[in-house]
Amino acid sequence: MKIAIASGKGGTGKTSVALNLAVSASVDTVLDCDVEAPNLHIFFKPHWNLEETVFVKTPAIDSSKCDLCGKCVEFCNYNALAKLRDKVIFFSHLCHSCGGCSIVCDRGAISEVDRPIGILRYARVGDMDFWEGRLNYGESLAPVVISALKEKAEDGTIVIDSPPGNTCPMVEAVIDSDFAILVTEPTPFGFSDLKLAVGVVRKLGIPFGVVINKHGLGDDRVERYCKDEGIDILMRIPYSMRLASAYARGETWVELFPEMRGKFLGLFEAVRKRCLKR
Amino acid sequence: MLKEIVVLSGKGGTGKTSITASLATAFRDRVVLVDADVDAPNMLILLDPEAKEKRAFTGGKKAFVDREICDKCGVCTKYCRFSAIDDGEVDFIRCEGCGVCAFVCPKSAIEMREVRSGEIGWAETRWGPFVFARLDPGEGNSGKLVTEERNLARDLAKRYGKDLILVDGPPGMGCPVIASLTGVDLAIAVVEPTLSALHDLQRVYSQASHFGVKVALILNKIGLSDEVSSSIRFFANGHDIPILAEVPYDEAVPKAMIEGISFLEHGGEAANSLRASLKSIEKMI
Ligand code: SF4
Ligand code: SF4
Ligand code: SF4
Ligand code: SF4
Repeated sequence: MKIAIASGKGGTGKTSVALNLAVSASVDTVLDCDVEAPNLHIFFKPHWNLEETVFVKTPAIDSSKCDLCGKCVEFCNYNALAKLRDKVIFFSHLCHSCGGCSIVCDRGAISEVDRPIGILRYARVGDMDFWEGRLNYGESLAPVVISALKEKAEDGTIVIDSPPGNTCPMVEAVIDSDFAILVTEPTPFGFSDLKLAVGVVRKLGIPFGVVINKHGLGDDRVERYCKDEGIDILMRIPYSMRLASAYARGETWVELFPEMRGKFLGLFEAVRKRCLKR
Repeated sequence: MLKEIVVLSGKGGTGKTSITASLATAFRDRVVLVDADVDAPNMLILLDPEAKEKRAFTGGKKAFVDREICDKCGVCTKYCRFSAIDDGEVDFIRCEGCGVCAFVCPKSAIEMREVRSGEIGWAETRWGPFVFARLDPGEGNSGKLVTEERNLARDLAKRYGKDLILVDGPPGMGCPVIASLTGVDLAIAVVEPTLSALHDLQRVYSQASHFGVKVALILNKIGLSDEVSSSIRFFANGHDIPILAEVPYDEAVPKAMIEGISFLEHGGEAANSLRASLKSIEKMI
């Protein structure tokens, strides 16, 4: 059972929900798919057992074979290649590794080489397998690292901390999940982000429910929206300085406040039931 | 001289948009404001402006297969690196529009077509011209959209005689952030005193430096954790990053957001401390 925790954007408490859900329900595997800014390790304080590099294929141009015909430049849909007076140059951070340029070059001047773009790290945390992915600075192919990360966990109960937002990296993280928990807060920003996230999970056909964090902070438009749309609100986490400071210090709610453990177990049960029903 | 500032935070939730809105309030009359969080634009909601101009954004292409011609030979499937095409059936969510399938198809059954992936426009607001854009849910190519926004902002600055472009940057570190960073004069990182944010700051700082952009800090929500606040100051000192302002944790900030105004307009402790720092911010830019 794969449960993805997502939110239109960061700061709504997505990482807190993923963390506390995983710890209270002692799931098998936790994946930190927020590869641009992974944060779960701050709470798990792991001793890394393993590290792997993630590579992509990148064109390498042999200028002795290139006759500057420009076909590769014309082909590349991402402007990752440009023709100068005497050579073709390559901008790695724009390349999507589609492999097209090496196919179109009929002089055989382009070969493909492996380029590292990120790493995967593994640690055993209690009874859980914990993996995080990390994209190197200046790289933009987050979905590649995320998909490599997801290959690490196939069986059992898996909690996925998705990247914020609603574009390719988020889609890659949630796409084959059995259930998505959308974390939001009762503010105009939270409401707007939630609607976008709902749009994505609906498009992907993934069943989902909502967790309202910082409940009591704002107004009731998130509640009203969920009611109107027939979306289940699975849990409400109160707005509290106590919880915010615990998060700030890198501490886990369910370990600090026993009543939270029960609430998160309830959330897990609610999700499990909805997955079984399918 | 036209100056460009981008406000960043490793992740959302640090108060980046509230701070940007307040800075826009402070620098009204000279600023063109840009919401570059095209993934989940929040400034737009705060302002709820009426668009002066709005148009569809075609961020890229997708593969379209002519069923009449396709004989399901499977060559496209073999070459597509994104598992987006299966014997002539295209999964639009996965298709990156690279065009490899169209090139390799022996029957020339595939055509690459431009598709809409969002919208871009601008509006007149009480803080000056405001550029916004939005990607459709699940779409990619946010980097290109951010670049188009910055181009539009430069046009507007010229047209209306403004000397400052203020960009509410996208969260994260990916392509839209790179697009918002290249060639700006200053990146202001908004950090809250949480361990996660401290960690994100280190990445934001490395990334901005990687692109040769000067970085300054606004420390937000002081009071959440004194210990982490000190760590952030220590990090800033160690890297010669100026701290432009220290804004206290203040419930007036979410309240202002719910009322649809900037916290500088709302007033309160946070507003006072930001106002007191405006001089030093002005000096930086
Ligand atoms: S691999 Fe694709 S994206 Fe990269 S340079 Fe070649 S054509 Fe462009
Ligand atoms: S297609 Fe090949 S020969 Fe032509 S410009 Fe590109 S690398 Fe050179
Ligand atoms: S390569 Fe062309 S003909 Fe073959 S399956 Fe793909 S679209 Fe059809
Ligand atoms: S355009 Fe590229 S990504 Fe899309 S289906 Fe064709 S080969 Fe795959």
